[in-house]
Amino acid sequence: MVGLTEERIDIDGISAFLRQAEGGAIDLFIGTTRRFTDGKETTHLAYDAAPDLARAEIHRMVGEAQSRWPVLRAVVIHRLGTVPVTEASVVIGVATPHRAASFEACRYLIDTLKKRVPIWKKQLFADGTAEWVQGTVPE
Amino acid sequence: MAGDMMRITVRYFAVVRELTGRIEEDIEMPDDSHGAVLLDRLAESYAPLKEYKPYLRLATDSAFLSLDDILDDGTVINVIPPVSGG
Repeated sequence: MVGLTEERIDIDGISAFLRQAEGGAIDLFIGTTRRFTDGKETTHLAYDAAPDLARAEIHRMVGEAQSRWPVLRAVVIHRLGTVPVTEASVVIGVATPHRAASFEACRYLIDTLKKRVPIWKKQLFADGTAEWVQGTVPE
Repeated sequence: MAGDMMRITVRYFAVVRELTGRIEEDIEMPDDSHGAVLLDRLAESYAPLKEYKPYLRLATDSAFLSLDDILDDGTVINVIPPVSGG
């Protein structure tokens, strides 16, 4: 299950999707909007993406995870547009037979997403200013 | 035939969209131009992009390109600034 959405992410639905009879472990990563960064108050984040390429890159990295770990199910959902404080911008979930693989595969997916997937985050601050977060040049 | 021109559609995102003031535009370039030529052209057209040029990548809708890749006539090329999802 891979996707980009402008709606609130359905974390309960994702959790249910990851429950597999063959599975013994689910690792679920939820990235949320944080109120303070370096002492500055954020009211919300705004995300932009190159959607077709982003979906293609997410599919590619899920394929890479499936080739390295015994992934039964994987989920990568990223929210676009406005994401208020405390709400989820990204949810990544992995189901595997044992816990070590689920931790490793989930970590691989969020770390790779941050390095490679064409999504951009703008911080909107309580003082009315805004700035694009300094990112990573994709390899 | 040498000297022919091609047309590509260039799409901008995030900080690059703000610096160019555009979402997308069609650009004519000599046939067989590679990605680096497009970036040079963009840095000439949009002065604020100059400092970003070393950090920009080009991509189709399905994969990243190398700056040595020849661009194809009629394709959409995405200009990708450093990514910051998550």
